[in-house]
Amino acid sequence: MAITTGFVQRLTWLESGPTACIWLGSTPTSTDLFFIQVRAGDSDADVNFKCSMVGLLFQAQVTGRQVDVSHGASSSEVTSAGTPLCNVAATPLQLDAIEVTQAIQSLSQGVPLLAGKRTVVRLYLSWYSTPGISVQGQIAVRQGPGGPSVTVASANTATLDPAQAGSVGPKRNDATRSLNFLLPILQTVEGPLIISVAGLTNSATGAALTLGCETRPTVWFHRSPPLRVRILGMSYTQGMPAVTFTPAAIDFNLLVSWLGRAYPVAQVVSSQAVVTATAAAPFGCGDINAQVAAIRAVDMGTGGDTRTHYYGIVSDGGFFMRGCAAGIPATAAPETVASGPTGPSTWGWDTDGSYGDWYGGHELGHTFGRFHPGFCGESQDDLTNYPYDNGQLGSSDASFAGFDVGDPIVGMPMAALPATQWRDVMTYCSFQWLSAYTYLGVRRRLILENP
Amino acid sequence: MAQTTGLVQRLSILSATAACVWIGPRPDNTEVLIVTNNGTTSDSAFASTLIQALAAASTNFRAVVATHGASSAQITSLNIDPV
Repeated sequence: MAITTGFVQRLTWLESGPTACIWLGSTPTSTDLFFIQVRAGDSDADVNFKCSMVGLLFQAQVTGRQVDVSHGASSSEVTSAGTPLCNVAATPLQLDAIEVTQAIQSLSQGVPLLAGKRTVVRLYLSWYSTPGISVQGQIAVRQGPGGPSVTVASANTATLDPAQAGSVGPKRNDATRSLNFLLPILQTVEGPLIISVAGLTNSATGAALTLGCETRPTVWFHRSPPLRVRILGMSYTQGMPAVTFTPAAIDFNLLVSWLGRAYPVAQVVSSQAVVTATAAAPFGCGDINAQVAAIRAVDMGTGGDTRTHYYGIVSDGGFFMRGCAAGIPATAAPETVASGPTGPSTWGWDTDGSYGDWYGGHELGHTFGRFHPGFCGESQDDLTNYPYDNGQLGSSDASFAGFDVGDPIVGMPMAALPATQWRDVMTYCSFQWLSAYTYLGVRRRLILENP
Repeated sequence: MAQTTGLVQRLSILSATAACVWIGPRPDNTEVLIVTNNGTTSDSAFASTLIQALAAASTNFRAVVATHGASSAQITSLNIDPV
């Protein structure tokens, strides 16, 4: 009896037999061929046993997990199959999981990745020895089995605490505890991407480290339409002596950046202008929406892109204008405008210098047909559909996890956004980000708006 | 009845009537349970589906709750809770 360990590089399930052909090896070009065959005389238990092995091997192939297969010393017929033991005594550095994220993701990679969107590969590593160590490293990515391999260096050094060995949650909830790799934009084109660990080193000594329980997942990048948005900064004059209030550059810049990081888009096609509000302050969002809609109508009449959403922002320097959308369209309707306030207030949690970013994400969410979930004082328009407790990004930290991929242009670092702390952008809760529910909902609507 | 909860750290499909699964919080802290069947059509189909669920949980980082006898390692039911 012999045991072969490797990655399922290819698996064919043939009706004849039925027979499964399994190519197992470390790379697509270095494999051994094995088979599992259902024979005419097999009992039901035998058939189920063989189908179970094929099912396991399919799962392993799709998720990039290693497998052990047993076979005769001179036979290629698989007699048993399984996932290998992760021997933490022999190899104290173990890979718990790989997560490829753009804004919100699950460990099973349930949220589709968008081609061209800023993407971070997060390695969750465990160190089963004391004292802890700090590691850095490289991953290798390929866009197909025969494609060239591109090496990407980690963006940080991760400190591995032995007390957290085997526990993904604390590493997932802290961007500094995962080893993060920012993919080059050319590696996020539409199609597959095969990810493997190229090397890890002890950052204190420079010594190479052996990694146990490695996985080599393949992810897929999907085409996505851009978000087209024109942002109108509505200025107004108020008081005696009269003071004019206009949104600051940071309000425009952070809104565009936030939409690019949080929304399901690879590109935000934006333009902006400052317009004098025609209504007298203190006006309401209905007044501003009417003016923004009129401006949009004129722009569309002169050849504007009809897929463009229009959003008005109003400085809270003179007064606070509560935001609203002109409607929540049931079908694609980019002509639905919205407006909202902006300013430097932190609301107790947002310290980037402008709250108009997530506030704008909320009001624009309405223009994509998104309703209030109803957990933090907002109307309960989507309470029965919203899938997670309390408006959270997930019902537990083992569920979806938010991740802000950061934006060096506005000085925004990468940040982990734990599912039970962060809430959906369509709520009125603090710590707003897009849940997978809203992310996928906006994506579906964007696709409808861009046939 | 007893329940063992955790991630599927390892799964071995050994024969037409036996599979072993290591469940626990980390690779070096697991409990070994078994999936067996008596060879009948319904029992082997149940065991096969159980193994498929364990394989899916293993490769997708989903915790499982395996029910077995207080003094038996044989899994009699499996639950995967929402996350």
